[in-house]
Parts: sequence; structure tokens; C-alpha cells
Amino acid sequence: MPNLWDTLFGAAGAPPPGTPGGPPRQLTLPRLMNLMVNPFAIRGGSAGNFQKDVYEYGSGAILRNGYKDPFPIWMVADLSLGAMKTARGHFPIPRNFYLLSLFASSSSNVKGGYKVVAYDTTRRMPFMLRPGNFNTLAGNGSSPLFMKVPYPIDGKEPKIKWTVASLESVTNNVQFGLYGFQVSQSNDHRGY
Amino acid sequence: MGGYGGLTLGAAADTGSGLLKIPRVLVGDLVVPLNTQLPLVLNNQADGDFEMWFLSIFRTNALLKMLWEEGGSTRRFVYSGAQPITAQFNGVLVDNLAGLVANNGAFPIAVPYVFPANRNMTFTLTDSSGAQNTFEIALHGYVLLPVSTGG
Repeated sequence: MPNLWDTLFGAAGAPPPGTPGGPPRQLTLPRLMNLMVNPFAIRGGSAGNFQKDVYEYGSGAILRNGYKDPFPIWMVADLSLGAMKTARGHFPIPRNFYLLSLFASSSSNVKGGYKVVAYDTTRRMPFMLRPGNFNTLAGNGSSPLFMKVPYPIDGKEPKIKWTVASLESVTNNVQFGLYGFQVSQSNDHRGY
Repeated sequence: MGGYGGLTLGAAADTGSGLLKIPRVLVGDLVVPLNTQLPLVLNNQADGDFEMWFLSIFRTNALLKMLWEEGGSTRRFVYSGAQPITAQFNGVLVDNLAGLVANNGAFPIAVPYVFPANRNMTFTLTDSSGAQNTFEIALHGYVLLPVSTGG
């Protein structure tokens, strides 16, 4: 009988979300929020060492065997914001894209850097219920927070809209971005 | 799916995939003059495909942005998510990509990506620090060597 963890998140080696035999796709915000767990830290057992954990977890070919020809992609909003300014835009998501993590940086962080919200236009759901400080939502390349399960972003012309609000009283050079991968084909993108 | 199973050196013969995996690091170095944009071309060796698992980056100043494109396919790894585009896009800050192995900062790309043998990778680096920036990128992974399984 599967335990609660496996019921919620799928056992190791289970098919990816949305595929036959796999867990359901994440459709609701509470589900998505509950999946914000670093799989490498959990499975590898040493939360402070991504380098080690990914190898331990990788022995089971974590994602490689579940997705067709994954291609890693970094998508970056690169902004120079004046004092206390707000910017809005969107990430144009390529077809068959799966989100793995966010990253964020701010040239000035005296008053908190900036706040950000992001919104999945296809599912019409925000990723954050209210604006969050960039450093509580994401780290940089040395401190990624990986989602437990890759999150498929689909639709005919999927977008992730974002709003970035600088909290600084000086010009702030901001980067906020997505890391994920594109696959050549996916059951999560049928019919488009 | 997942046709790059293979085994590491010292393991039993992997008759399934016909591949032997040997650890390899592809390293690219560049000194970027102040406030300048320069390309860095890294060539995968001819002896086998390269399966990339980790990125590690060294730089002397964090004000360095990078674009990354694969030769042959000309697919881009990094592109602008700021739509509409209002300024020239020079890529992602290298610190947002990866850090140093010594600081436990190597970035696990989580989806091992295989570069074909002889494939070029072009990194375009833009410094905005106002000083010379010494940069190094290390792609950690395995070379996938075909092995004979015939008797």
C-alpha cells in the first residue's frame, strides 16, 4: 500500500505527471505550492549539498528517462528599474516546456531589492498569492530551489506574466527568470 | 526514451546501450576586457558525445552576462523573457547560472543534455563591471564512448 508521500508526489521512477500511470498534472495552486520541495535534498538526504544529491538521485535517471529529449532553457527578464519603479511583461513559453526552478538577483538590496509575482495565463493561476521578496522566492545558480515535480506549462500560446516592483531608492538592475526544459513531444501538450 | 544509459568505467559491460561513460569536464576560458562583448567557442571532442550534468562558473566580477547557443542546431539555451523587449538583451548574469564547485555552487541541470561529438557551443559574454573580467566555465559530465558488444 503506498504511503502518503508517494500518493502525493509519486514514487521514485513513476511516470511524469499527466502521463498514463503517473500522478495527475498540477492544476491548482495549493498543489503547486506543496510541490516546492527540492527532490535532490529529500531523496539524497543532505539538504546542503546539491552536487552530491543530484548524483545520488541521478543514479535512477530522474528526468532523463521520463521525458523525450529534454533541452535545458534559461529564460530571463533582464531589467533596469528606476527608484521604486514597477515593470510588467511576460515570458513567452516555448512548446512542451516544463518549469523546474526560478532564479532571481538584484543589484541593490538595501531595502529588500524587489518584489515579484508571476502568473500562469493558461491555467489562470498565480504562482504567488501575493508579491514576494525575490530572495524568498528564488535563489541564483548556486542556490536553486527545484520543484519536486516538473511543472508543465502548456496551451496554444502559453505565457507566464510577471510584475516586478523595485523597493530600492536607487536604480536597480534586476534579473528574474525561469529554468526548465523543453521536450520534443509530450502527452501534456496533446492537441496543440 | 533515455537512450543514453551507459555505465561508468569499471562496471560490467553494458550490452543494452553499448556506451561507456567516462567522466569529463569541458572547460572554456576567456578574459573579457572592460565593458566589452566577446564570444567564446567551446568544441566538444570528436571521440564521443558529451552528456552534461553540471555547470560551474568562475568570474572575477559578477557584472558579467552570458548568452549560450549550440552550434549546428543554433538552438539557444538562454533567451529573453522580458516581452516586450525594451533594451538589448545580453543574457543571464553568470551568477544566476552557476557558481563554484568549491562553494557547493555547481548547478545541476537536472535534465542531462547530450552534445553530439564535434559540436560547438558558443558563449557570448558581456562585461559591465568597468574592469577586465576573467571568466571560466566548466561543463561537467561524461563522454559517451561506443563499446563493441560483439563476440
